[in-house]
Amino acid sequence: MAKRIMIVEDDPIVVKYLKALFDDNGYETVVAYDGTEAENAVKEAKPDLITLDLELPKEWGPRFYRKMRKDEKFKDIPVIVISGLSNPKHAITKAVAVLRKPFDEERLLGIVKSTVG
Amino acid sequence: MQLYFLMGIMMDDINAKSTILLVDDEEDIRDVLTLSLSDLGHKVYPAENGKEAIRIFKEINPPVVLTDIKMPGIDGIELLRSIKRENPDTEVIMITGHGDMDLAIKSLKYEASDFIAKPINIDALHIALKRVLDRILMRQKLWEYTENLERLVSEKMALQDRLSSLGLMIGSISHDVKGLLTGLDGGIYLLSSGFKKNDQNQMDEGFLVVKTISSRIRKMVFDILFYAKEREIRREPVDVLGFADGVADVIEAKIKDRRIEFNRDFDKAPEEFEVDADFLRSALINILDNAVDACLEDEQKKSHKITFCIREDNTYTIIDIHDNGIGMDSDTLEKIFDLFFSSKGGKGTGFGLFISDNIIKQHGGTIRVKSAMHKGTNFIIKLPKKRHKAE
Repeated sequence: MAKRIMIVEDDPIVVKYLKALFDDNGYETVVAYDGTEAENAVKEAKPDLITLDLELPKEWGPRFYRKMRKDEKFKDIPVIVISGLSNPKHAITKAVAVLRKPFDEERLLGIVKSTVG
Repeated sequence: MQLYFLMGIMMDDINAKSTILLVDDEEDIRDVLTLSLSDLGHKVYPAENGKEAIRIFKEINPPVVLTDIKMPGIDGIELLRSIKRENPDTEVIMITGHGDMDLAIKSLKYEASDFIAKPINIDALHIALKRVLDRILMRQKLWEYTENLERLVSEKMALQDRLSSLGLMIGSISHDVKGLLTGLDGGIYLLSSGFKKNDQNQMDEGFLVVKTISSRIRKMVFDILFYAKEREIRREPVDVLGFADGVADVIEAKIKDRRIEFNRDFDKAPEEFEVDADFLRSALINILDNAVDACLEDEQKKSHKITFCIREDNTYTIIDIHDNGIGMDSDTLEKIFDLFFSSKGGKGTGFGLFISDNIIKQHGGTIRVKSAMHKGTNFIIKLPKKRHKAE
């Protein structure tokens, strides 16, 4: 069964980009445009991996992440941070990787493959 | 290079012709000295006592004064002091009689430049004069250097101001740039992946993304260029209707498919105005873009309307832009023309209205803004029809 990736990102163009990139490489995708949507989507879709932007409308990425980690069912979902902030490393310490925009797509795919296969 | 060349000429000039006030109560000495100093090329003003000397000094302000110490009435020391009070830079050479050493030393205390003893040896006088003239020249050079240095410092400060605001600007846009570059990567990926799969939809989508992003990058780069290099405006007669329709077309293309009505009201516009069309166009598009955003952001009203009106009175061409969008509170209203101020979060660079305001000012015009929260905003731009004479 195809692994499912949840894309949490507010820029529709970047969403299209990530979605096409993951679709082309055989992953299923779910999209959430802000932190609140992400909270609901994670429960419904039970993703195998999450790519997370930090600056989001309504609720920022780090807050969504902290809430998610309090829930036993979801706390081990691996998270890849993709952010335009110049120093995003410290926001989410348990992230499997932190990529800065603009990111290298091969590197992102490599990390995804080695994390969920 | 040129500066030194000029100074060379001045040096010769001073050596050849200084103006000297000569004060001595003995007519013979005055005559002899006047003759020999004139022979050396100096312009000599003789005076026979202190009172006359002060009168002449005030009139011609000579750089050099040569005065006897012992004179009836105002003596040399007193004259020296009043000249130094009048102009401290004046070089005063004292002529001392035999055994006047105490007076000579006293005169040095009062800042006399030098003294020479009677009977006067013309060579010694020449040397003394050369020394004071050199000093005058040195002072002049020093003054020029100081002046240059001050200019350099103020130029450097202006440069620093510019650099630090450029730094600020780069800081504020770098985040936007990263977003745009990521988007561009995305567009390119969609395109190339569409090609591989021969998926026309994805190719179209990719192409649209590339197009959108490159126009945003283009706008940002132009904003930066405008800010980094303020070119002079070039005003020329422009057909108002053609210009206004051009601006309106750009905005209408943007609000296509949105529920915003766009009104062109150019019936009372003048036929022609003298403006820098490129500049004014970007100023107006910035303002109209904001009007569009204000309408999109307002979720309370069902329908939105932007009016773009150009009219005239006797002295001004008036451009009136009105929207019934979200409006601004007074805090926002106060800051809208500030550089880097943006109320649009990540979407704004804080350049737009700053640039618009600058452009209107460069045209000798004014912008007035009225706005009320949830009611709308009104920009009124007045451009003088006749250029100010000072321009």
